[in-house]
Amino acid sequence: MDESQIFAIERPHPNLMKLYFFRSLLSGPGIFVALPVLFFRYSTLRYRFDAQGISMRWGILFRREVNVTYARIQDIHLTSGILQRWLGLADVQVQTASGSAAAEVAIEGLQEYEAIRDFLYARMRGVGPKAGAAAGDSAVSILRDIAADVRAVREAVARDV
Amino acid sequence: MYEGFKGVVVRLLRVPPEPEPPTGDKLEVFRAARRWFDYRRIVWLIGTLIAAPLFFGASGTLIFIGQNESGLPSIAMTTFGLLLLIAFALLTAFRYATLRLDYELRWYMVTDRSLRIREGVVMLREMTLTFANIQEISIQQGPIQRLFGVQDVLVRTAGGGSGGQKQGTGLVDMHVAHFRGVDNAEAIRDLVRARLEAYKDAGLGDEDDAEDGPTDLVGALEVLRTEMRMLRAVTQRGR
Repeated sequence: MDESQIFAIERPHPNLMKLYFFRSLLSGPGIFVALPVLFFRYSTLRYRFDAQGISMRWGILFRREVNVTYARIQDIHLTSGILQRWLGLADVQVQTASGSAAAEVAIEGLQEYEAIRDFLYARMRGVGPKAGAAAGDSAVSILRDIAADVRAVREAVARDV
Repeated sequence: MYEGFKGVVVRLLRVPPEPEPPTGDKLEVFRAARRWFDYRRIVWLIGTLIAAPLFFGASGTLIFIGQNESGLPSIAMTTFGLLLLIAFALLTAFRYATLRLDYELRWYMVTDRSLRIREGVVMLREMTLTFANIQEISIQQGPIQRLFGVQDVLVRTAGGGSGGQKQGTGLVDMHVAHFRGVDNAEAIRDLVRARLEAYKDAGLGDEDDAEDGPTDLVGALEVLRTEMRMLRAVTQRGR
């Protein structure tokens, strides 16, 4: 699965509605409240993955939109209960350094959760090679070393003069 | 029998196999210590010993009353009492088996850039974080854990809010990576600290720091030329 496929993701998988249905069944009489709420959540849920970050929005009366940039991701959780695994789903919970204990973005209802986790992970800071450390023996780095040496010589000379 | 149970559970609960290691070299995989499993089993045994009298008492009373009654109530009460006993036995066995599964299906992976922790059987949790974001490492050990020589290593990232201390209420602090029940906590701590050395920034979402200065050939040459000219100016002034 490559980037373009992830950038194309917009709607959750229909199995998410099944999951919501089972969950509201479990709430017993609460189903009369839970099911409509979850139905509207499902039907309005939209994801957008772009070059900078994730955006997720939902809601019909009270609307919410959450945006998180990839570089600010602190840690990524992949969690799944039995029902979710049966439906081929999992939550990708994305944490930032803001104050809340719960995940800032919980990407739910996508069957490509592993690919999304790896996609987000690859864009987190600290995953790629550290800038500068990998400079190695390129012509640029050699020239920069020479420039640093010359600067040191110049400063030494300037002090003596 | 356990292996059969494990096979069924793994298939039924769709527990995925061993997690993929995260990006990076020098992968080291830590597992929970055998003694931690012993510790969990003791806890399980204590729980069972406490619950057993209640269950036996309840089902014994039911069966006893059932014997003194007659007709339908007698049959119903005896059956119910027996069912209670069977339920208790099954529950105890099931709790033991999930304990063992939880011990076996647990991975702590550390590479030179990130770590990944996978735990859980029914509720599966896989956590990934990079060393660039780590804020704190701590080691915890309770008195009973000390008896068994196991420790928990906690690795924290920034953020958190409430919920950090409220474990058991279902609210887990998601900014903490737990290496539960390891017997080489110091080794893990030293490893994490050594790999943290590479990151001098605050770990609060800064972009990966680019080194100052040009990165292309012409830019580097221009810097060098400027330096050379300044050096020349300095030496000429000295004459």
